[in-house]
Amino acid sequence: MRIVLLLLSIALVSVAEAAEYAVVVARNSPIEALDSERLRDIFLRRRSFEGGIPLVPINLLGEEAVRTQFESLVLQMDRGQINQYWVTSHFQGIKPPATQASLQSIKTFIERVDGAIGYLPISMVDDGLKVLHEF
Amino acid sequence: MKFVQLRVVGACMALCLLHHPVMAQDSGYEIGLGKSVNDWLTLGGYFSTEYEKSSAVQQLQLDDVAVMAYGEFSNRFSYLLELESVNAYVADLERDTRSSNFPPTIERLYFDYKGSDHLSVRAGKQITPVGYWNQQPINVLRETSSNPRFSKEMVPKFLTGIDVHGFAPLGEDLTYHVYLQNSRDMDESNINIKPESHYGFALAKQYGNGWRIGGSAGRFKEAIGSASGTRTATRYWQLNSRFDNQHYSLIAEGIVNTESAVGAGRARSKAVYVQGEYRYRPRHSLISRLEYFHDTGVAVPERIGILGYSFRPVFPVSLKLEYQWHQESSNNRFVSSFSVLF
Amino acid sequence: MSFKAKTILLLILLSLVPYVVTMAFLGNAYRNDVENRLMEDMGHQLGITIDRLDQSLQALQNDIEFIASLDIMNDVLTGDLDRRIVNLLLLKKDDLALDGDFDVVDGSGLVVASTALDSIGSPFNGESFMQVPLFSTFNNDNIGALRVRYEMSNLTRYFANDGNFRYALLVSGERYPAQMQIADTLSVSGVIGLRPEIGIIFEQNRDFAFAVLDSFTRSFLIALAIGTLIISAIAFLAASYILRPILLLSSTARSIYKTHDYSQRVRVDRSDEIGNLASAFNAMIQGMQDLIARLKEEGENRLKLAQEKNRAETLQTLSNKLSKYLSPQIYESIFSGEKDVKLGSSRKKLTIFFSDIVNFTGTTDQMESEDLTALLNQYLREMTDIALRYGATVDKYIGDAIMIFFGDPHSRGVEEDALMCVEMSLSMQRRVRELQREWRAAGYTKPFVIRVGIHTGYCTVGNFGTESRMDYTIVGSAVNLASRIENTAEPGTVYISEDTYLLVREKFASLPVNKVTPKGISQPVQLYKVLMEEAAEGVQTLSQDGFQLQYQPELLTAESREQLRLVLEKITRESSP
Repeated sequence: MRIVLLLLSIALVSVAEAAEYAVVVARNSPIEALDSERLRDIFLRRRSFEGGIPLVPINLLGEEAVRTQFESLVLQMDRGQINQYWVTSHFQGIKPPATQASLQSIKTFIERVDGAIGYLPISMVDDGLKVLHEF
Repeated sequence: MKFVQLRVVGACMALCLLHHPVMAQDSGYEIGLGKSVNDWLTLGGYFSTEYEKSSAVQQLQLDDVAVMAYGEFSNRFSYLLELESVNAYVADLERDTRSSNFPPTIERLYFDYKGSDHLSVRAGKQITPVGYWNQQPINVLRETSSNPRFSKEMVPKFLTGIDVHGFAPLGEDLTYHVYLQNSRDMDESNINIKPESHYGFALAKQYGNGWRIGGSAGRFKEAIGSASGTRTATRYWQLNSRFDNQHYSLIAEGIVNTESAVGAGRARSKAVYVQGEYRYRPRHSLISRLEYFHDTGVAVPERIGILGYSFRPVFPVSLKLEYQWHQESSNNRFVSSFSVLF
Repeated sequence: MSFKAKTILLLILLSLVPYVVTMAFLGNAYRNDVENRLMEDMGHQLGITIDRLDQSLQALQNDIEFIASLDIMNDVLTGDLDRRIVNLLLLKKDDLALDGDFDVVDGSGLVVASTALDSIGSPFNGESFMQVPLFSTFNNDNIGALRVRYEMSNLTRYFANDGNFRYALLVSGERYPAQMQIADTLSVSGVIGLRPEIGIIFEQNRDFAFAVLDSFTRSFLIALAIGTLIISAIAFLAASYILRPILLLSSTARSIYKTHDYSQRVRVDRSDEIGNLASAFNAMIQGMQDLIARLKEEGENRLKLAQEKNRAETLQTLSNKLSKYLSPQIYESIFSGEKDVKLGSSRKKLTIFFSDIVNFTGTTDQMESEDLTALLNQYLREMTDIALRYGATVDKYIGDAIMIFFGDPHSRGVEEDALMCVEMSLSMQRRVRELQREWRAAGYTKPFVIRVGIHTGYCTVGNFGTESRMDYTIVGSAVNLASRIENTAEPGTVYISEDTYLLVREKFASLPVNKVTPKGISQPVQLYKVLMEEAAEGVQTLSQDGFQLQYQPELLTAESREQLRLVLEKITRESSP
């Protein structure tokens, strides 16, 4: 199964030719790398910790390309599925991750909030951030 | 009659969108996701109406009206409260009677403590973490209006006790639940089985985004009759599997139940269902379900076939039609429902 | 000082004193009371204002606490790059109509978001009126604060100040609005419960507060002056009105005293006490006038009376003489005017009495005329006395016979009349027996024996005769029957008719005797002999058809018994066939 997924992601990446986006944390975070399954669990709020640290996933508000790419490549769900997931979660008492309205504020948020994890275009990644996953 | 229902629905919506002058202008509300006031308070709720027609029954009912409130006190502590009026309004068109039942009951009230991804504790009245169907017990989240017999009388739907759960350390995507109840239910008004004690465990494994399997086993005791003091102990073993992709979903669940009463023999019952859903267009789908139910106390096993149609303009709003074929053809019926999660 | 002047003065005083007392009260005590009440009202009003301020501040506090709890405040962590906080605050400011500013300050004191857009990015350098700490919902860290900048003077928009009423805030010795204090004010003060450092003063111009009272007092004084004039005038008129009749009385009295003209009157048309006095005065004068007139009249009458007296005495003598020839009843009846002396009659049931002296002619032939007259006169006088004692009407003396009747002009009822008549008859018989003894003692050898007959029946009674000579008497067959009964009676007895017997048998023992058939009456009348009481005692009576036996056992001697036996033997022998 995992092989299938791997092949799939390779295929997608090859279509995009090169990874444009990255999942990032603050430079000082102890987390070094996360695979897409783990990221999916985190952004679907199935998991809340990594290495004992409470995680704060942060979504970009709206339907910017970075978000849709993240959803289709990392979460591997379309908007309908994601919506269905959060509706079901609402009944379970689980809210979607917090949002920020701009990429810049996501960047700032990640830099300043302990455990914050989010996705940005690779071009925005600088010294303050650490890349965990590219897509 | 319809106006009555509309009014009831309207009242519930209004109740949920509590009006605070400051709150009113908060960032947008999205149906199905509740109204998040702040981190420690999100409000929501749901309702469903159902129309049922068979040779013996014809009724229209507002069968669920519920409000929910939940939130986090910190990133480890959270709570949830759900109050529900079951069979809030029932119009029996066959007998031409009307009844209503608005006083709400406590459907869920629990507190969560998240120690880690591997160890979380939920204490209070909660849904028993068994199978798939049981964990999505409200009409709007289901694919059909009706519930399979599997979900109705084999396992207590609710647990008033403690559930320890998390990702099992043994393997990726393997989750576990160990649950224990050692008291009566918090509110016995609307529950299928009223156990005095209940314990069990459940395991679930997810393969990617598409396929999940799971199973559970447990034991519960219930008193038969209030005065006699006769108790039965029931053991159950349950398996479930589900597959989803963009167009299809397939669910199968089965359970075996052994009930033993003091000084009486054992009774065994089995229930299985398989359900397939085909989303042939983005908002439309066809559903088919086959059920098998056998109680050894009853000679003839029961088989039910269902064909249904579902329309969801958005996911939390559902309009469903279905027809059920029963072994006893007089039980065949048509069921339709309209339900909303808000 | 005249009475009139005194009255006028008294009336004026009585009317003015309440005015003056009220004025004194209004001027002093009431003024203090009004001041207290005004202060109380102001305290109450201030309380309401303070409550309103308290509530507004509490509401503001609640609102900013709520805003601080919103998830969006987490954007402090990103320095509010997306201006979501700013937008929210602007909305809230608008929503709450806040006339201050919201500021969100991060941990380092830098303004991250503010409704005063200029201040964003610079250090917070104002004074915060209220502030609420902000916490990250991700890790519960304190990430800053939500502050409200609020000019104290803004609170004054809750005040409705005008020239006379004024609220002011007092914060650390400073006044908002910073007007000069008016010199003469009523003022109360308090503090806002939620912010005890903020004091509130409520002032009212004293002149304004008392304006109503002052103008009222002024009006009252004017009214007093006018009132005094009016009262004086009224008092003068009233005194004149009251006193006029009194003066009139005194002048009239003086005039009467001088002129002795008692026909003078005081004319007062009033119904009050003065009116009564005048009437009484008039009545007194009237009384005096009448008295004088009567005295005059009486003097004249006296004179007349003295002249008439002689004539009256003559008449009296005449009348007394006349009475001897008339029955006293008739006489009285005539002289008292009960019955007019004129011809007329009526029919009545009377008891008629006749008596005469048995064998009078035979007896009188042997007596001297003078003796006879003396005897007869004594007899008649005695009988008449008895008759009058019993209330009888002595009709006439017919030689030695006397005719008497009962029932007219005074009747005691038919039965009583009959009883009286029989009683009288028995008295007469007893008196005659006594007289017999006297006469024997006087030497008259053959004393009188009388017999009596009585009947009760209807008679015609009245004045009979002609206008020149009338006789008051009774006529009718009953009178004849009574006379006839008298003729039948044994000497020394009283015979009564059956009609009378039926009326008196209860009282008097009687024996049936013979029957008589009077002239003009077809049926014979049964007669009864009345037994004299003394004889009746001890008398045994045996009566059957054909005989009646009477005897007195204790008086029977052996001789008389023998005689009785022989008689009875003879009678029984003769009767047996």
